[in-house]
Amino acid sequence: MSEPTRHAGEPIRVRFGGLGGQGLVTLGAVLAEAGARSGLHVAASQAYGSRARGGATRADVILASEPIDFPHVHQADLLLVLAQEAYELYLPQVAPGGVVLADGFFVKLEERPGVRQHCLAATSAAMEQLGNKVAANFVMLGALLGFGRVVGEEAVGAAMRNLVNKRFLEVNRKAFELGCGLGARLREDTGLREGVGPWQRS
Amino acid sequence: MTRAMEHWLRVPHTAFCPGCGHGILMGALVRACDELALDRRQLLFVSGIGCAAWIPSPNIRADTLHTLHGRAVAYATGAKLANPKLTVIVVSGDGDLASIGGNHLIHAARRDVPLTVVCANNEIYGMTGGQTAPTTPLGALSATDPLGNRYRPFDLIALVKGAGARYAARWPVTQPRPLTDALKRAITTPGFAFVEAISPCPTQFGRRNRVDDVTKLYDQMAGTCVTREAARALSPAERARCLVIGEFIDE
Amino acid sequence: MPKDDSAVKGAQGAGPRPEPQVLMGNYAAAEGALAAGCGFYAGYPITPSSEIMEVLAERLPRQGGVFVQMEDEIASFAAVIGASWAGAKAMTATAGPGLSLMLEGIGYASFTETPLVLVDVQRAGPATGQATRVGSGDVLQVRYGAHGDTCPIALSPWSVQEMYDQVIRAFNLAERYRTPVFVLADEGVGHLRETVVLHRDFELVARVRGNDQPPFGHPDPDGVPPMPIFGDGANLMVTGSTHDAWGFRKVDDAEPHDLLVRRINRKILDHAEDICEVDGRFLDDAEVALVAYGFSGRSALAAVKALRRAGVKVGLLRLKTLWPFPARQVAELGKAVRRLVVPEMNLGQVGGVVRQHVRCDVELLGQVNGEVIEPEAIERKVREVLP
Repeated sequence: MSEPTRHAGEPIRVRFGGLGGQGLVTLGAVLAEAGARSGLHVAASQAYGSRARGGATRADVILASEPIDFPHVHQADLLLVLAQEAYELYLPQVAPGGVVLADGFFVKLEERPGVRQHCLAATSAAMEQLGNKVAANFVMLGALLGFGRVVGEEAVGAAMRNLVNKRFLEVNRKAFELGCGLGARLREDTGLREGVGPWQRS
Repeated sequence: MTRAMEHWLRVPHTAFCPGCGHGILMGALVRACDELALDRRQLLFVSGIGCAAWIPSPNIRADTLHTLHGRAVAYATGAKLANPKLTVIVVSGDGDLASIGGNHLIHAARRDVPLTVVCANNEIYGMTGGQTAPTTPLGALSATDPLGNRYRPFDLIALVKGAGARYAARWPVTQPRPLTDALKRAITTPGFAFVEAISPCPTQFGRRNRVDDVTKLYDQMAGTCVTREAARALSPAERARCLVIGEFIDE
Repeated sequence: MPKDDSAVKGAQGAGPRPEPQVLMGNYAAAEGALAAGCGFYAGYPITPSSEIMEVLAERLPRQGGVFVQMEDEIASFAAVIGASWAGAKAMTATAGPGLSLMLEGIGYASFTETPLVLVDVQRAGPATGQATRVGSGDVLQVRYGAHGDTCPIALSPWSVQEMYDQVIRAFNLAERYRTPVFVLADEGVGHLRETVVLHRDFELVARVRGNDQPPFGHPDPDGVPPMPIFGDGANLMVTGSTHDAWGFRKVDDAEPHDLLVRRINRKILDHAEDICEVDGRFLDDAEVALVAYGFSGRSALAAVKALRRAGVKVGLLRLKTLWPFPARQVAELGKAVRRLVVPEMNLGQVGGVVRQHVRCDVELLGQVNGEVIEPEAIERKVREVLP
């Protein structure tokens, strides 16, 4: 495994890719608010089609220690992807040295030199342990935190309480914790030492 | 009315053609306001574009909002919702309210916004030169139907009732007392109310349909008006040629 | 975002400053309306502006205001005009197709001198175009869409913070000049989430009422008459027909028409220095300057910084006000630099106007693919045209 090409302190561009209805925009909003609560400059945006359900969509977040001039993402450092269609669409837009975390339930990885790719059992875990397939999105957010430690976990909890519909907060909180575990295991397996991106634990 | 008209009227004369029914409607309107002892400061008249829109603007001495073609009801909705203390009366023509403004009319009725909408129905576009209106009778001649109107006219009462109007009434200007009473009931209705005043247009409708004598036009119009009771005895075909007059209220 | 990092770090200005929070641009626009004392919203759902009406549907009634979803955009704009004359600070929001329908009302509001605010979250047109994608093709329509001569005011936000700030300013300008004011946002800013401070560091302009002066004519150079409202006892005559100073219709007379049309234009143009705001960056020694607005201003700033790192003497003039056009500022810039580049998400709508005010070369960088302009595209263009 090659050394991570990114250094702690640099802005990080995160993309969530999937299908309409998978809750990606909420993930982007939660990560952005958690970033701000962690003392970072943030910008979040989304691109979606006219369909409320289905069709490839994305939610992008930039986390930075300096003010963000251009707030959109056209090359992602981290791609978290929950659908094959979105994977194929967004893989070419991952920056060299970037990382892909894919939900193995939906995505079959293909070769791309210079990009590290990992499958996680997000949907499987959500179904088996929570009985809720839709909560896979927060499993992926947890995996991002466990793997990359891009913002504080407590900040994510606070952002979730602010942004997630109360009816689904409990299951999503459990999903997030489940994902944190999956991400941390992946981190150990890959030998990643440094945090990814600008956030540092104080 | 014994009261001086100067209290309610702003100008000494109107722009209406000789024989136009709109002056009678204007009189009925100010009598209704006077008999209800409405506070002029809280009274707003809203109108669209066309001859009937000039009934309140500038003639009636109160706040007046003379809007764009078809939009009077939508402007009135905004004013009434923003200041519910205002008594808001829309006065406009059949082309304005039922053709270009038809969508606003039915939605205001559906929302039950407390407005009084008064439609001066002369069955033609008067100001623009006698073109076909959505209320022009089948077969009637107009500038745009020189061989006779091919399409059925709207029954505006049925339209607004279907959209949920709380109160609806139709009277010809030749019956000013029931018309005035209908206006008073409409203004005091706590919701959407609609009054259709049949108001002949000698200059455009009469002339184009070879009824040159104003009194004959009024007689002809009065002849097509039948009460709800009388209408029940008519066949559907006969009823289609008539204007059923009276009050249409859900009990 | 670039300018407001001080806000993120803590208190600025008078009084305790609210905590920064992460909001979507459209939400911030709604917050700006609430902060400015908006009392009435009428609208019709349309992507990508609907979040504004959704927030106000919930929040406006709670602070004593009125929200109504109308049957279409024509009716929405009509209701806003009616509500404004009934005394409310009133607004609506829409996108291109809705703006097209509102044009008749925009002309009416200009001619009757009705204060109101319209937030246009531009999407990729023409026609239905791409509802969820970005564009800025409405710039000339808000300026010239209404028939006859009118002189609207249009502001252009480039950040979530400015969505908040400019909506507040729009309400103030509307009341100050008795005219419709546009906040000409775009999908990029409307759907962007970033840090915003919902501060209270502003004063609100109160409507000047009064029944003793004519409400539609003002002989003094200011040109803005007092505006009584319905219920003031002024026996108002508001009409979209040509009218004299008291509102009497004058549909056949030459002089009142000439007077009125000239005054409603002059009262804006004479105050261009008060209305027009620009934001200059890296201009002191610039040989090439970008003129940009809205989301494209963000792309331009990133490009300028990248080019500066490579030693290119380039700067940015960002137009915070689009209409009336900041003609003086652009003309001065045209004298100071050798070349201007105008990146925008249309085929040169503002670039064409810039050309009317300068003698130097003006290069257009128009993009109409439903995507925001990337900084690299601007960098390439600047390198191409370097003197």
